[in-house]
Parts: sequence; C-alpha cells; structure tokens
Amino acid sequence: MKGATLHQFLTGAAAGDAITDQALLMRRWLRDLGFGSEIYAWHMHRGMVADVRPMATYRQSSSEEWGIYHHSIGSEMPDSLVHRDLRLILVYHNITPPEFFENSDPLRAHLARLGMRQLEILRPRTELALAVSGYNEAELQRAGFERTAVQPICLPVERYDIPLNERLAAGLARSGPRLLFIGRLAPNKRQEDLVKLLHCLRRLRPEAHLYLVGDPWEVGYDRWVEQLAGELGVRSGLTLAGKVSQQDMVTYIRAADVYISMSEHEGFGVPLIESMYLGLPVVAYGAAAVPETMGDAGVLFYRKKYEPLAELIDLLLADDALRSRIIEKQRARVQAFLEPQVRRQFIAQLAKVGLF
Amino acid sequence: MNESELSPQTNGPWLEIHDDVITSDELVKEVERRAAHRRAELGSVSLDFPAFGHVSTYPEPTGDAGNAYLFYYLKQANQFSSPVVEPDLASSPATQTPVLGRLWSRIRGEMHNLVLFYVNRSVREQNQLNLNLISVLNEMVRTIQTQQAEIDDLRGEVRRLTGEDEQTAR
Repeated sequence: MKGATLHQFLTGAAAGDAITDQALLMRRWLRDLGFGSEIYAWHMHRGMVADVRPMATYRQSSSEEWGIYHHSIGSEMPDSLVHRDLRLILVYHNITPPEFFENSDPLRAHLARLGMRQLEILRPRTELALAVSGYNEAELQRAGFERTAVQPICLPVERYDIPLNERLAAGLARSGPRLLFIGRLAPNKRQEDLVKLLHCLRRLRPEAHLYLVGDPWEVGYDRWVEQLAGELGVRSGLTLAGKVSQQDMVTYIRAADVYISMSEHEGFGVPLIESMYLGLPVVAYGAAAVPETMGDAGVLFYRKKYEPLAELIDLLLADDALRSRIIEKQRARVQAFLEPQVRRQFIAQLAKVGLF
Repeated sequence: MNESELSPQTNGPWLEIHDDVITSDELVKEVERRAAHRRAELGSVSLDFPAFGHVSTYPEPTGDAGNAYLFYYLKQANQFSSPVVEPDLASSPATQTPVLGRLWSRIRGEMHNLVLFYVNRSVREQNQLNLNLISVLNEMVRTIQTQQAEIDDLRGEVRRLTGEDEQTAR
C-alpha cells in the first residue's frame, strides 16, 4: 500500500528485546510493502535512538488511520493510543501473571495487573488482535477479543549466522558439559530450579556447568539464585553471564551441550527456537506456550523430577545418535518461524483488515 | 518446592519426545531406572529445596482460640507484609489549564515516577526481608501446632494409661 502510513507503538524498546526485534522486523516488511512506518516507544534505551522514536515526538497525520500496538505490560501507552482516532492492530505478547511478583516486586505486579485491565480499554479500538502463540490467542479470546489470529515470532536468521566471539568460545570450551538457559532473571523463569537440577547433575557429571544468560531484571533474585547455588555446593558450576551482545549469545548457544528451561510462564519462548536453529538440543518444562512452540521437537517434561531429569541430560550428553535425531527434528520445526513463512502470514493478516 | 507438577495436560508420561527409536514411555522408564540405580549406588540426594519469594510455600497457619495474641499479630503480619506502592497520580485542576496544563501534568508525572523509582527500590528490599521473617514465623507456628497436637495426644495417652493403672490397683 504505497504512501499509506502504519506506525508501530511499544511500551519499551531495548536492544536484544524480543518485542523490539519483532517490531524492527515488521517495520522492514511494512516499508518493503510501501508503507511509511516508524516505531514509537514510551521508554527507550539510549542505544535505540537510531531505530526508535520517543512517543513524545509522535504526531498523528491527518491521513493516518491505523496503528500497530505491541502489548506486554501495563503502561501509559494504551491510554495514549485509545484517545486518538486510530484503528489498532494489537500484537499481544502476553503478560506475565502478577502472582509471580506479588511477594517480591509490588510495582511489577501492579503493572502486570494494569496491563490485563488495559486489554479492556484496547478492545473497542482493536480491529484485529494478533497473538504470538495459540496460548496467547486463547487469552485474548477470554478477554473478549473477537477477531483474533496467531502471528508467530519470526527468527531473522542473519542475526544468528554470524562469526563467534572466539575468546569467549575458547573460555567456554574449558568448562565441563555446558547447560544453558537464556532469559531475564525473574521468578517466573525459575532459574532457581535449574540450580537444583545442576545440584543433581553434578553427582553424575562433577564438571557440569550452568550458564544463565539474561538481564538481572528482578531485584534480589540473582543474588538469591547465587546464594542457593552456594548452599547446594554448586556455586563453582554456575555462571550468571548477565545481558550479553548478540554475538556472545550466539557463542553461548553454539558452545552449549543442552538448552534447558524450567520456566513456568512463556508467551512464546524465543530462546527455544534460537537454540533449535543453532543446533542445540532443547529440554523444556511444558508450561504455558512452550509445548506449542516446541511442536514435536526437543524433549518436554511436565514434572520437575530433578534426579531423573539429571539422568536425561546425562543420556543426551552420552548418546550421540539420540542427540542427532533431536537436533534434526528441531531444525525441521524451526522452519515454521523463519522469515519467508512468517512474513507471508503477516501480509495475510494485513489483507484481512484491508491494509494490503 | 521439590517436584512441582504442571497441571497435566495429558494423562501420558511426564516426559514427551517424538522420536522414531524411543517412545516417551520408554524414555521415562529408562531415566527413572537410571535414577533409582544411581540412588542405590551413591545414596539419596536431599531434594528439600526452598523457593523464591513464596510465603505461600508455608500457608499461613490458622489460629486457635487458646492463643489469641499470637494469631492476631501473625495475621496482621501476613496481611501487611508487602505494602504495594500504587503509582496512581491524582488529577489536579492545574493540569486542565490550556497549554501550560499539559506541561505541568508532564512535569508532575515525571517527578512522580522518579520518586516511585527510588521508593520502590527500597520497598522491594524491605519486602523481601519482611517476607523472609514472616515465612519463618509461619513455619515455626506450624511446627508448634504439630508439636502441640502430639503433646496433647501423648497427654491423653498418659491419662488413659494412668487411669488403667489406677483401676488395676483397685
């Protein structure tokens, strides 16, 4: 649709953030289709200045009828959008339930509850509600949205087919079997349960090492996880890598032996498909949207039986044939999240509301 | 929280794999067999783990009329352990003023958020301490309740045996 305007709106924009990455990808697709398209964010990291504009600078043009809003937490953005004469395409990335933060972070719990309430005010303005998974779509339908569809997260392969950080790779190669989890350090991600698993695995593989890559997002949780590792006698086998660059993240995945997730709430689970794409066997707790994202690939578990899970990981480390079959199946599964297919789906969604 | 269980979406095995060589059932059997063998070989491993931020791990004990003070204050502590700082900004007539009102509203909003940022940081730390202390208190009260029940049972048993002795003596 040459000449038409279709901007995107985010609550926050930061490098490496899954929602920001999706918005950047969608902007490219929209521009390729001939739309004038920018990304506006309420809060933004300094590093995003070249790609994202502050919401305070947004002025709706007279011919602008539509906007795309990515919703994942309560903020001022929904109020700001619904008071404008805009028809919205809502992209719902899911809201982590407040119960996970109730006892540790009252502000985060408040924002989660606010985000859920804001679905109410967004609904009348929303022409099409897109969810990144069927799990999220079901939530939208329960919230009363009638016109919904699934628009999965897309993995831009050019960001993964990159040279490794050789220095980091050499350092990682010196440690024992490497378990990896990528995600913000937050109670819903249950990094603590990975430490418990490490405790059991180290009886079998004393050199096993757990790498937790992700922002220490929740105040105190990182320290608590470290303290637990100390109490369980596995502190030397734990590395909290913090937030890392894209190159380092790819290096961690390439160097790891197993990706393991104990997360109890994922609206999609981007690191699962990142690991699948980069040939790392995935073992994941089947919570929320995780089984849907995994499809028939990897290994899912529905009970946190630490000792048998440690045996499973030991088996995956020892049985090359099983490992290869899992990796092969994962490679087939991840095709559903690559650009040609997901981009076609996106264009089809725009066509549904007459935008293409 | 040791073996947390997801609401089982299937009645099937707790591990799920789609593989041409090994089924989910076979995989479960294999890893559980290995775990049992390992336990026999190396001894059992302690799986009594704590969980982060969960007072609910130890549900608040229910009171008994015999100790009203203890349960009154325990209830108070459980109710007010996590003061929530709601970032609501009340409207002000000054914000309705044309042009300047919007600017004033924005400045107020930013100041409000700044204060909340620092207040919440401190509140979170204090909440964590409160919750740790309340978790301990709840768990101690539950332990006391269990011990009290055992003491009551033993007292009853002593009374019964003493009564039997007296009857025999007569």
